[in-house]
Amino acid sequence: MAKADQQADRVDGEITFDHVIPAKECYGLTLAPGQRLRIIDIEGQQVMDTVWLSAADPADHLSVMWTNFLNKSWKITKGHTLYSIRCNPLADIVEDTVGINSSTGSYCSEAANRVRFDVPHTRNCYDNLANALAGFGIEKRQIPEASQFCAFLNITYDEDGTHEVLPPTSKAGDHIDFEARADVLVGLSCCPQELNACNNFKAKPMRVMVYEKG
Amino acid sequence: MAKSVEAASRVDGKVIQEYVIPAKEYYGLRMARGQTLRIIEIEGQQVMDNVFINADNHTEQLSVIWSKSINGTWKLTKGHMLYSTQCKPMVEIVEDTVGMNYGGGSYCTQWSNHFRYGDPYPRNCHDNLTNALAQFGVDREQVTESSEFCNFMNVGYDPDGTCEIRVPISEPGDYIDFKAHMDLLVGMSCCPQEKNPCNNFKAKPLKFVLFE
Ligand SMILES: [Zn+2]
Ligand SMILES: [Zn+2]
Repeated sequence: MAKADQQADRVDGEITFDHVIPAKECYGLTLAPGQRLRIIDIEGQQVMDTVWLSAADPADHLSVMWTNFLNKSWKITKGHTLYSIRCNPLADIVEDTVGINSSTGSYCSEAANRVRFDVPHTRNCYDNLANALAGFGIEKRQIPEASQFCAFLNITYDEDGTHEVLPPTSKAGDHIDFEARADVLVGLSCCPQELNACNNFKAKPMRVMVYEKG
Repeated sequence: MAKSVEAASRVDGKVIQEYVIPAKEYYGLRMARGQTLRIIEIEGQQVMDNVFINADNHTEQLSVIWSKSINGTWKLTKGHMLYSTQCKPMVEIVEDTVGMNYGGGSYCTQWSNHFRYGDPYPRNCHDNLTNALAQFGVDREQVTESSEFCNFMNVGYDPDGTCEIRVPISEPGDYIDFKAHMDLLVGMSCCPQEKNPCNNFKAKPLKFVLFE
C-alpha cells in the first residue's frame, strides 16, 4: 500500500494542480492538449464520474458509445482513446493501474435514487457534475448521459446478460491518467452513492493532479 | 406456424396504422399510452433505430443506460421495461421473436461515417431520427445518443472486452412489440448503414403496425 501511494504521488513531469476532492464533492477544470489529469483513489473502492466536453464547442462532448465502438472494446483502459459525439479524440488513457472502468454512461441522479432505492434528496453525480461545470457556463442539458465516463466503476456484462454494479477493485494509491488531445472541460464528481456497491457503500475522497509530461 | 410478414401483420387488436418504411427511410409517430408498436422484418437482417420521447415533456427521453441498470441485464428483450431519463416506465417489450437487440445507445452519424469509412455523405440514423421527430417540435439536440434503442442489432460484449457489430440473426416475419406506458413520440430510422455488418451490408425496408 505504501508503495502504491508513492507511485501515485510520483508523476513524470511538473505538477500544476494537486487537490483532494472531499467525499461526495465535485470539481471542474480545463486541460490543454498534452496536459495530463491523474485521478488517485486515496482509500480504495471509490469511483469518479467524469464528464468531458470540447472547450471550443461544448456540444462536442464525450460519447461513451463511440468510445466503445471506435476502440472496439467495452473495457476502456490504458491505450484507449476517449472520443466525442463527433468522433474527435478528446483524451488518451495513458496509465490505469486498475483496468476496470465503466464506459456504459450515465450517473447517479435524484430521479434514479428515488426509483431504485426509494430515497429522495440524495447527493448525486448528476447535480455534482452540473455544479462542477456551471462555472464554465455549461448547463445541465449539455451533459447528457453519454458524456460520462466512470473511473474504477465495476459493471459486469456477463454472457448470460447479467449487468450489475459490483464493488470496485481499486486499492489505495491506484490511479488513472488521461492525456488531453484537445482543449477540454472536465467535470469531476467524487461519486456520493452509498446505496449500492458502486463505492462499496461508503463515499470517500479522491485526489486529482494535473501535470505536464516532462 | 412458419414465420411470415403476413402472419406477423395479424395483430391481436385494432390496427391504427400500418406502413412499410422503405430502405434507408424513417418515420415519426405519436403513440398513446396502452398502444403497441410492432416492427416486422420483411427481408431479414435489418435493424431499426428507435428514439422514444415523452410526448408531454421532450426533455424526458428513453435512457437505454437506466433501462439496463434497472432490469439488471444488458440483453433487453421480451418482458423488460424500458425506462426514461427520469427512471419512469416508458415502453415495455411485450413480444420479441428474435431476442437480440442493442441497448448500448447511439446511432450512425455523418461523423461516424466519416471517421470509420472516410465518407461523410451516406444517409445516417442521426439525420433520419432528427427528421422523423422534427414535425413534433423536437430539436436535434434532444435526440440524444442514450435515447436510442436498436431492435435486432447484434453487438457483442465479449468477456475479453471485444465490442463489435455483428450480422443480425433476424429473419423475414420476425417482430418485436413495444407497448407504451406513457404518451410517446417515436422516431424510427430504418438504418441506412451499408458499410458494416449492422444490416449485413445492405439496407432493407421494415414494416411497422401500430395497434391497440
Ligand atoms: Zn454517482
Ligand atoms: Zn444506423
